[in-house]
Amino acid sequence: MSKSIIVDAIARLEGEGGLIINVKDGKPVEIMLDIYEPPRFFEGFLEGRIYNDVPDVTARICGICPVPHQTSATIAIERAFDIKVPEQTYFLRKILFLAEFIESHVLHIFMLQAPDLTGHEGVISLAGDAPDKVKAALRMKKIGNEIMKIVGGRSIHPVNLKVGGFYSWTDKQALMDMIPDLQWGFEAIVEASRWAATLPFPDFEVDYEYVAVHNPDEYGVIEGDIISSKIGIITDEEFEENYLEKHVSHSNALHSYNSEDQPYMVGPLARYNLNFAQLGDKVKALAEELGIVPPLNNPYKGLLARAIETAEAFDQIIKLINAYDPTGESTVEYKVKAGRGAVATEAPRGLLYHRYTLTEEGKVLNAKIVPPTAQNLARMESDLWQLVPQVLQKEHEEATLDCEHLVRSYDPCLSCATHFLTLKVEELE
Amino acid sequence: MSQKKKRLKIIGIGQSFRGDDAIGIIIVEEWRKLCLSFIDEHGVESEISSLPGLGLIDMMAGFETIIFVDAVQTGINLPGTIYKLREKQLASFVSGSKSTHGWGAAESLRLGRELKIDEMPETVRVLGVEAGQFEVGADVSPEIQIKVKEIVETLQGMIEEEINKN
Repeated sequence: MSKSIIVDAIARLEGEGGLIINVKDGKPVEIMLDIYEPPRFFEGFLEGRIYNDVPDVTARICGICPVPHQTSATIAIERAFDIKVPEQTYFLRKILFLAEFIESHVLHIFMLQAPDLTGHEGVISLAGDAPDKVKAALRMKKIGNEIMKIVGGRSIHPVNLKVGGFYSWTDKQALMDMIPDLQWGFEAIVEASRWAATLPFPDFEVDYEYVAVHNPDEYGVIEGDIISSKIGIITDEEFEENYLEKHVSHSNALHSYNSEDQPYMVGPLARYNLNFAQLGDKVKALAEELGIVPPLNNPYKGLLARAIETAEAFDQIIKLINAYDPTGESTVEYKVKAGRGAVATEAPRGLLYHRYTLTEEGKVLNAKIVPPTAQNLARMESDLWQLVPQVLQKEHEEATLDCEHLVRSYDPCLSCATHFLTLKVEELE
Repeated sequence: MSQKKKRLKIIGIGQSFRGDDAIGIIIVEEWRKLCLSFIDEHGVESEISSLPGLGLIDMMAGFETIIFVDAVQTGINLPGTIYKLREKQLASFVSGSKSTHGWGAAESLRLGRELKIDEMPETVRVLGVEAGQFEVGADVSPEIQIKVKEIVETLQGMIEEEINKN
């Protein structure tokens, strides 16, 4: 055959996975996060679709974080069409966005990771021990869901966001009615953060390259450039030159590396370490009081970053609701034209990159979507190479739990289950 | 703070794109069609849930009795086998759960009970249907499809038992 078949980008999504660690002579010789969830081909089936379908199609990539996908798709297309949306649109988008942070972070802190740190099998046994904490978590999560419902029309796969703005403005009063709940939520997460700060995190540090969205004026989640602890600030357009995806045979999700072929970390720790200065004063003071300050180079302590980010989200949403005062049409006028737009936003699990090239009729010529969990997979495997020699002498069950906990601390989207990992430690001949 | 609870709610659980997992949805939808006048007369509420996660706690809250309709997999009995289960029998079905993300109705129920949430129902019953396969994109297995009417009748029977209680 004279021509190779090269698939540059296989669309993928986080789903289910296993972990295989092969050991020889008491040392790990192979470590693989085995991502066998079938590829989803979203990028492929976006091709040829009209631009206005893209936000709603990409929302379906994930049931936990539809909003960042939807928002990224929308902004990338707006950039391709040179659309500038008014401040009020930005406020409302950010309310929706941060509501999802609350919902997702609270789920991870209490339902997925806290059981690991408190010696519980899962949240049900944690609830027996600490019912008030779990009850508070459920209420916080519900508040996030409610806000998503109010702004987005429903809490999963919201439907209000569109290129140029929103299908309709959210009623200000409906949001104002949530303020007492949000104020309660802020206090609840402050209390939870105090508790989280006392949890026994494993002693494990890694020298990471952190990559996150950065906005000098606020804790960046939607608008901003990209910042790396290694290369500094780059624009969204420069992302693909600096961070590359590779296919590895044991994973249906692509792995990402920096330009020196080294793994990097996205997610709450990356954001927190890079953007601590941009936290609001009230939340920053809380973090300092609790000693949750950068550098946090322990992956397990992503939980602390999530807790503080949740406090920031409650506080920001209250401020944004107070500032929200929409007038006029909920969508700006724009012209469809050929173009290319790229954006990086922050999903709860980390930096999410969308890029689209559109024809003059506004049809998708090609699309690229780089979700956070795929970017973290190579990083997780590297962490495991560091961790495994430290745990191999432990009992099998304990060693398994340590490895699982490390992976779970990344909140990979493939681990919506609290116990998704099947650990196979194989002693080779 | 607890208000008077409503009498009864039917919750169909399942994913329409995962083979026999759709049965909970199909049965509740069929029941709504076939028992329309009964539903109107008795004001029986029903809901479909494709994500039986933590949201299920809120979905159950505020009713005296909940009847779940869900696919179950014991692997012992033939696909289409009908189970009428009480809450205490649920634990034996938990570990084999094929629900997305490993969290299903039984787990939400246990969490709600563990937290002693006031609004939780006093009675929870499950109409389970043994599933054969959960293939992505597959239809419900033929041996289950031919039993839809029988399953709907079983559901209606359970509802009447609950309504006629006391």
